[in-house]
Amino acid sequence: MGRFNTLEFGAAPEPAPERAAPGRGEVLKDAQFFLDDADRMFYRMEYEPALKNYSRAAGIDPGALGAWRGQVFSLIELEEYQEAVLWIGKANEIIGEHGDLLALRALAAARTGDFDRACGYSDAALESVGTGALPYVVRGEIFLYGRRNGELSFEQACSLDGSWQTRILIADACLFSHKRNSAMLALKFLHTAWEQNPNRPELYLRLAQIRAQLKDYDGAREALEQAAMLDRQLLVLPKLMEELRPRGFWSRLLGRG
Amino acid sequence: MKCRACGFDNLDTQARCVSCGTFLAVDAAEIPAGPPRARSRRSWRNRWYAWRRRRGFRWRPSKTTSKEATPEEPFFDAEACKQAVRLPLAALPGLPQLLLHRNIRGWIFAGTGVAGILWIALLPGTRWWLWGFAILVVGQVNSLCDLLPFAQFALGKRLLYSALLSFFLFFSLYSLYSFWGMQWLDRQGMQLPLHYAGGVLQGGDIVEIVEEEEYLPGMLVQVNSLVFTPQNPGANYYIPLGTVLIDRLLARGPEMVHIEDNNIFLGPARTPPDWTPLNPQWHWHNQELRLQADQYLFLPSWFQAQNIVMPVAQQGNIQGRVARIRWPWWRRTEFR
Repeated sequence: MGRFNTLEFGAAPEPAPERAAPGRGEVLKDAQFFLDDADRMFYRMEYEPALKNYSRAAGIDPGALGAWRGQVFSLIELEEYQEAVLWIGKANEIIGEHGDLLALRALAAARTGDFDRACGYSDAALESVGTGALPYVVRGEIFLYGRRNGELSFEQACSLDGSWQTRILIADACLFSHKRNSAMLALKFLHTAWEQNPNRPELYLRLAQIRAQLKDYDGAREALEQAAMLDRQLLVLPKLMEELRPRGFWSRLLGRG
Repeated sequence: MKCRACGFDNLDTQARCVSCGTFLAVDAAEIPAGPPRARSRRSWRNRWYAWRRRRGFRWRPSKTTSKEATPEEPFFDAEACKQAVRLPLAALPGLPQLLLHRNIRGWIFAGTGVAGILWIALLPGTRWWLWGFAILVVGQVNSLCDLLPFAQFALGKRLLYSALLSFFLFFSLYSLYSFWGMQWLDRQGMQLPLHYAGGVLQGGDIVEIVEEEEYLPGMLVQVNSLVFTPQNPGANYYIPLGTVLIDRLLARGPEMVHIEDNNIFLGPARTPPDWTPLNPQWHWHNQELRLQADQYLFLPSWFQAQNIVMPVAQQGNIQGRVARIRWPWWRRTEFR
């Protein structure tokens, strides 16, 4: 019952619209359900279905910051930067400015090579109140592009939120930047997450990517097989296996491809 | 404001429903179903972005946060001292960058410097020769400016400082060449004459000068600074220091010389000579003069271009004749 239902200076309140209650044993598919599902897919690198679920969550609850953040992050991971910037504008209209959205704007600018703008947005994101680890992860990635030590920013991010999700974001940032020693940096931050959560297939996916970047293709295939053992439903596995398939002339000639 | 999910009547200032937490501020119709999507893969644009990311940027702390974030640096900064040591290394373009493992730019600067040196070494006899200094200077200035802490300046200032440094280096190198290089050439018995387009000699060929007892019309000769006209015997023309006048002797006195419509006629029979000045583009106004016994008609292209009164050389003003072209090697020619 509402707080103002008993006050007598207005008309009688209308009854609440009927919502179809879930049956016994049926999952309640509210915004949080789609958000959780989308998060799970996002960390498994399944960005297209994650984007759909984030959109559903934002449609149910437009005030869900996580849904908007996830949509924008998925667009950035899909390398659709202009769309991501447009969508950040839309999110700002609906839920207002937020540090995470500023950080994502900085990330989109950095990945398009607009580093002046990226630094400005990153500064604003770090100065905004109530932000989590994301602005520090983005700052670290910008530092990598600026040939500075991004490790300190990543450590600050981990001190704010040391979960395996944050460490995966750090690994993704390092892997995407393709800078010198960034693969080793990703491995360093992923190692702690791997020790704490040895049964996470998401971590093995990143491990495979790191090994592939370090030219250890056999190790990368091994990590992918490990991920497949932990979860057979990973949609990204065939694509990653295809990327790791040897494509050289001799490999094809000798039938190893 | 009533919640559209549970019907709870919230205050207007509430962003979310107090009862169920649904967002109140926006109508459902305003919420789009999903984000806009790219129409294509945009491979060329993503490649461009990837190139920019690989290129990276030089970090500058922002103006808003730099004052609080960066502590005051000590005057004797170790990094600054290292850079001061590295600065002289920039005399060899690209070397300090290679020592700092900035390999790509190091090789680019070194390559530019080597290209400039090769240009200067291989093309001294051509009109493009002077550009070699400019190419060398580009490599050196970039190498030097890469070491200097220019990142804190705006682009306009950086360009201005680079341009000033380029001018300074260019004229330093060229002066060094003019002083030492010309002296060396002189000691070797060679000269670098004025730049002009000629049929026999081309701009700036390095030629060997040989002294002779007697000079005959048709010879290519070098004349030193004293050149005068019989019409105005008191006037000596100023010839800049380092200018080497080389051209053909057209006639020898005593002789009557007429110039009409760019043709030179010798003697009372007005026979056209078999030779003309080196510059095929030469132009002279109509006139006639009588050469004395020790005088030669000498029309260097430099004078023709300035269209002054006909210069005449005396026997004592002739430095020597051009024996051969020494450089460039593909134009080596012997003159008899």
